[in-house]
Amino acid sequence: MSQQSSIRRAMLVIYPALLVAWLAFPGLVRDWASERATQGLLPQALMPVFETVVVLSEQIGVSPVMQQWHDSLNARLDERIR
Amino acid sequence: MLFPSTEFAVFFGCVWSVSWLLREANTARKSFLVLASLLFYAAWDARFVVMLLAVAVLMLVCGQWIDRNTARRRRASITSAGIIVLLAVLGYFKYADLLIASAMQFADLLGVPLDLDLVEVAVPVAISFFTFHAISYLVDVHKNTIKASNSLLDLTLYISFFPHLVAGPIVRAREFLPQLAASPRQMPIPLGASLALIIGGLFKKVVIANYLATALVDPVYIDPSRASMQEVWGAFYGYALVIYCDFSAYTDIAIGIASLFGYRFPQNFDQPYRALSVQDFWNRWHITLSHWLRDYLYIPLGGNRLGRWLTVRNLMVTMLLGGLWHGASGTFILWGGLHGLVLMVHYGWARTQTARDWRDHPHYQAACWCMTFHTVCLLWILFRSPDLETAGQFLTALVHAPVGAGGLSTTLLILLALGALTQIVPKQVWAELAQAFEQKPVALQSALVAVALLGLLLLAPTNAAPFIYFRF
Repeated sequence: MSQQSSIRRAMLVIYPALLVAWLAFPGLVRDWASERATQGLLPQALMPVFETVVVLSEQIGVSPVMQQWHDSLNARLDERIR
Repeated sequence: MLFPSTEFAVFFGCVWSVSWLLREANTARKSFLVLASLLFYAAWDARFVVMLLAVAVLMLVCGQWIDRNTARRRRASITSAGIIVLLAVLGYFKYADLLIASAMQFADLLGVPLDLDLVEVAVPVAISFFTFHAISYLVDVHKNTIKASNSLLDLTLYISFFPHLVAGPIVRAREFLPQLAASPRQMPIPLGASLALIIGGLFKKVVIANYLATALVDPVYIDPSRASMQEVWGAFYGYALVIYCDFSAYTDIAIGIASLFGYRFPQNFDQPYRALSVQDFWNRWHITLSHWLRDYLYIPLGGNRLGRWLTVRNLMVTMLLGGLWHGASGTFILWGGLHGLVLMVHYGWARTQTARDWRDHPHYQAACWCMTFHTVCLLWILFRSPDLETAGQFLTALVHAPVGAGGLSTTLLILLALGALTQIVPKQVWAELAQAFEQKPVALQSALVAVALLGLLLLAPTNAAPFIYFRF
């Protein structure tokens, strides 16, 4: 019988991981929200939060490094796969 | 709203939080999950949300009506009426154009040309899946396998719950409805297993299926006559891995997400390319559909109880309709029919004394595996090809393509090997890893999940292709 966790514990595991992913690639969330901003009030209202995370991530140097790694990894994969 | 997308991550984060806040109030939580599921569906196509609700109402009305009638004939009539309505709607949206086109072709053959207009109506996303959910509910109520639900809320959540809504797995009412009665306050969840399914599923889809499809399989299928021998054979094996990694990824993620909400879904894949016969393959591939077809079509037709010839007829009818379920085109019908034919041959062979004598011999098992795997791969050509002409070109290229003009890169070979590992590594290994994960402290668990997510985000191509099974 496998061990089981509570949903509270699962949240303590998953939400921080999602926040780290958000901080590493804040542009993904900001871009999604800006696409949706015309359709819904929620993305529009939260836009300043998303922008703040983008600025914060850029200031501490996380997102530029991650984006550069992503782009170079994808470019190398594209080059080597064919 | 694709699973591997920012939009879904935001959606999931919000829905999971609110459903947790509502954990003390089961009805409010279920109502919220219905609203969230309808929103999820509306993100695909808002026009058909009403149809989804109408199906739930039909299930409620017919289910209650069946339950109140004790006369067997009356119960059967109500069940049949409900199923006819469901199949008529499915038929109109999915198969009307195929029927009209076939009628025109047939009339042409008879020398009486017919000029009919095609319906050309948009097919509602997931119509095959929610129709099958509804049919299984009505039949189960009719057979007294389950008691008719008097809750429209529960029935709506059953057919619309967002993890399984778009591409399965097909969850039976008797498995799901009892779970809705339980209080969500203290639902224990298998966190390690759920995360292994979600992260493993994302890896299969975003890395293996995406890259193999875009760099190998799709270019070859665009024009098989221009590919080299290595590329054609790479695409031959590659597509088997692409469709497995794509579809099993979707249902793995669906099962993992449902589990995080405290609900259990049935397993949908069991390393299908380890199968030793085509019958074995169908017990491992899209298991919930295979079992659905067995329970609601093959067995009602008589199954294997009516003698040899009616058994093979039932196998063929089941597989033809299984092929048709996948799409209204000749390639899918032929794919289903050929699977039916192979099942018929296997049914006959498995009953011979030779097959019984050799059954446990390792060399015989190796030969069975090799034949089964290659038969399945060969039939996938029909499944993948847009038309019979392309399928024919691909088959020709398998034999006549030039050798050595263009090879497979090391990266592609690594991806093919990774795909093969999904079949080779015993399931027990993943179960043990999930169990080991459960025993780690929360901070370490979170760090491991974060590293896995970052790895996936770094490897992911900018635009992920949609899941293959969405169109069914």
